[in-house]
Amino acid sequence: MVDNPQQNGVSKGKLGPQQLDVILRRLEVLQTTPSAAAGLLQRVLSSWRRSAAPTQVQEELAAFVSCDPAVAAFLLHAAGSDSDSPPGSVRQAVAMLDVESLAVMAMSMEVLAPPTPRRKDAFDHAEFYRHCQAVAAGCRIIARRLELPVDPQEAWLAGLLHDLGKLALDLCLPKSFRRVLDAARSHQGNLVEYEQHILGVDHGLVGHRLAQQWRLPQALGAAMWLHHQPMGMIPPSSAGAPLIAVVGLADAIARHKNIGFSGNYAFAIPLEEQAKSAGLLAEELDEIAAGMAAEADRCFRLLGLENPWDNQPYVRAMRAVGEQLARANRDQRRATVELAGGAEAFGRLADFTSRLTAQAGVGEVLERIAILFAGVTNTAVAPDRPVAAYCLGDPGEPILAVRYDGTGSPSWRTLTARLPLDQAALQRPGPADRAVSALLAEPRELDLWLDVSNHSHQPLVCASQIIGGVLYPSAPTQPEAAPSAEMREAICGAVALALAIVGGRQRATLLGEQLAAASTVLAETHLALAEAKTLAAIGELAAGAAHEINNPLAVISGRAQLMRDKTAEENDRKTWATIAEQAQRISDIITELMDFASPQPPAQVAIDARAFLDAVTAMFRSGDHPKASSAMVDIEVDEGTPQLWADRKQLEEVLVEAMTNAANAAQTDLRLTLAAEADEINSAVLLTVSDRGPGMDPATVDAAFTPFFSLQPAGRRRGLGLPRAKRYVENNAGRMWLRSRKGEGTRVFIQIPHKPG
Amino acid sequence: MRQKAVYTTGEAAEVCKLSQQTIIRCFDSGQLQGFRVPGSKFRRIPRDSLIRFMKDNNIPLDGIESGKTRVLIVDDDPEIVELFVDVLKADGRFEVATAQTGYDAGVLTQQFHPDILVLDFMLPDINGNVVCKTIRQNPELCKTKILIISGVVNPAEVDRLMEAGADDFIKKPFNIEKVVQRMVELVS
Repeated sequence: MVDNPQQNGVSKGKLGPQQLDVILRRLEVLQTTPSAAAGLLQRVLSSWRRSAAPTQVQEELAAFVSCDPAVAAFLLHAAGSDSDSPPGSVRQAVAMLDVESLAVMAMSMEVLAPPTPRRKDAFDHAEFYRHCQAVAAGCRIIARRLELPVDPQEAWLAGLLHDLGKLALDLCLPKSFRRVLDAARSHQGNLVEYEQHILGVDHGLVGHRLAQQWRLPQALGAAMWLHHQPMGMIPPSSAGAPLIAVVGLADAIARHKNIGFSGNYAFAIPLEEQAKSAGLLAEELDEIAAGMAAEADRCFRLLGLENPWDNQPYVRAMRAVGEQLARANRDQRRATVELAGGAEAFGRLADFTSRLTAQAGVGEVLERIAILFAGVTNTAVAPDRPVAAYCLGDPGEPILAVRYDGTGSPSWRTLTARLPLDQAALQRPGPADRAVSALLAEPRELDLWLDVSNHSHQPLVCASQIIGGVLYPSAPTQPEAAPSAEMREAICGAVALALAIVGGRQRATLLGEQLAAASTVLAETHLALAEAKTLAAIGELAAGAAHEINNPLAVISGRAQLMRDKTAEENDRKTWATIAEQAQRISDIITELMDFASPQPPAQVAIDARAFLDAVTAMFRSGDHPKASSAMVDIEVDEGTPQLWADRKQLEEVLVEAMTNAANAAQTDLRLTLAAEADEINSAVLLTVSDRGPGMDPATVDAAFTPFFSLQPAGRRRGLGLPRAKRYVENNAGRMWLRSRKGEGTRVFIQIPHKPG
Repeated sequence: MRQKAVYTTGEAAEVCKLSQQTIIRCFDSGQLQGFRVPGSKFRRIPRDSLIRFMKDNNIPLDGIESGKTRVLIVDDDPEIVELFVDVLKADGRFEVATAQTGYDAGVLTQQFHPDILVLDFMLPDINGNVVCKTIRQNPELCKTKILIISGVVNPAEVDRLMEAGADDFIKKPFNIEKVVQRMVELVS
């Protein structure tokens, strides 16, 4: 790293926030001493060679790394960069990386150049490390002593890395940082002030930025940033507050007791005050300091910092690790060759998946699975060496199976599954005949279709459930190129997933279809219900109206009758009579509407069809329709027509209404045919009233049963006749409809239940 | 039209076409029920007991009755009541009393002893079938006919009225001639 303010975009020697970011982005790795780097490499190497007790090896490596702030930060960075959840401690980071990655990490650590006699080192790395180690130890001791809600490992790490910003500044801006150090020393001042004055940033902020950039745990970043802040400045409620306080206190103790070198010479707050506010006595400080010094000593020796610049062990260790990596590389190449064998199988799998479309059904997928397996197992399929694939249905549903022998199109069967299925037996690959007897309720179903005597069974398992399987010839035609069992398992996993997805989608489609059908029924029910509700409301309204309207009508009609009787003049008499009649008519409309909306519950009796039609005809003829008396009515009743089961009076009205309707339409003499026949499918009798009249157009047919729809001139008829007839029929559990075409007459159908039993 | 409710022995003698002495003897023997005016010896005979006495002794009722059919019209609609009064008065064969509530109907029935009640089914205080039941529970009114006339035509309701003791049902609006004819048929 070159300390060139111009190159780094530093104006007047000070850094702006963006410039700081630019500089730190270039910082991929920190530097450590050759002795520490050598120790790291040796430990990585031994962990590589002694694969026996990985936990112990990991522990040793973690303990070593935990003494070196540069290595520890870099390790956390390396482990966290590829992970969704960055490690919270060195031990976790070590466990997250495999040994090859650790080796690469160790090899890529940069090594500090030894100080030359020409350039006296203002920044004593070895003693700075001692300071960091002491603070780390102090943090752990204080956290335990005060029983703070801080993990001791985390406390150690926070102490170790608290001055990471200084290492970064030393590496990125060596000349400027040395100026800072010199100034602080010569003035015996506060380092932070000089950093801000000379560099524009202090090491706390640099550490914080680096922690963010390297995805170190947030609490560590906060401790690096704020450990110089007076304790009262940090809100005690903030999450990292205890850790920041502990780091600040441990840093102060280390500096007060002169353990190592921090580059700082001044104290913002007297140590005693700081200790007191933390809840520690002055005597305790000495005890803590002693523990810190001892721990720092241990770490110092572990990193070989008594002789930090000895390059020989480092070079030897680099060579040894390099050789080990080369060996690993050779192994890797061998594995690659082996994998190439399986690549063809995966190529076929890729072909399988690429041919699957979003619309593929279970059948199509099964067919492709059979073809895929013929290729994957290197089996040249032939009529005597077929491959079969099957898919299980829901419990109780048949098994769908396909047989593929390379000639023509595949053949399909549905097979009966054995219940309950022996999942455990079927999920083990093995001889096909054993699988077939576990799978099928009747294994003979396969006779003449699939001979599995020399076949193997490969189950397709998804979410611990067998969903299907493949039966393939046990002896491959090219055994040497057959993929390994693991490869086959992997392919089966993918294939099973495809089958499960397609099966699931097919079930969802089926469910959708069923739901659609159900919703149609629901919509119809809804309509019927709405109609029933509407009719009920009309019935209620009409009943209320009947009471309110019939009283005044009675007065109008009664008074008109009295006036009629008093009047001698014939014209006046007619007028009064008309008033009385029309009042009566209004009342009749209301009564009819009420009856249409809520007809009386039917009093059903057995009715003989022929006698009934005769009686209705007589009734119609004696009625007051002008065409009734001259009407020609044919009655046709089939042999064996059962008795009707209906309210006689209501049914009479229905028939008379149908006949009246025909009479109204008839342009010449009225000719009608009344017929009755058995309607066995509906347990009913079908009555028809056919005329030879002019017929209706489709719009009239559609509206024929709509209340108050009438082809008669306005005022002539109310148009409640047919709708009310239909209501009566439905009231008697029947159906009424009509068929008519212009010029071909009209036929009214009345379906009425036949007598039960 | 108000009926006389209490008769003196002289009036009773005139109604029965008997001597006053005979009436006094029958009064004193208990055959003719009545009371003495408090603080005096004057005898008084209520209309009910006079009618019972005449019936028991086969004395023609012409003297106490007008010979007309007594009709009590009960309807909460005054226009309907008025219509009936006009029709029946014009006819001449009827003696008419009217009520607009079930309560009034009950009181008047006791006093007026109608031959026939023309009763609206929906009254403001009590329903027509309650009136029917009350009348039917009174043995003195066992011969009173009840003709229901209503604008509501729910056949189930009509059935209930017939069960409660109504003699017939006619729907509003009605043909006046038919109503009068039916009334005459019922009381004859």
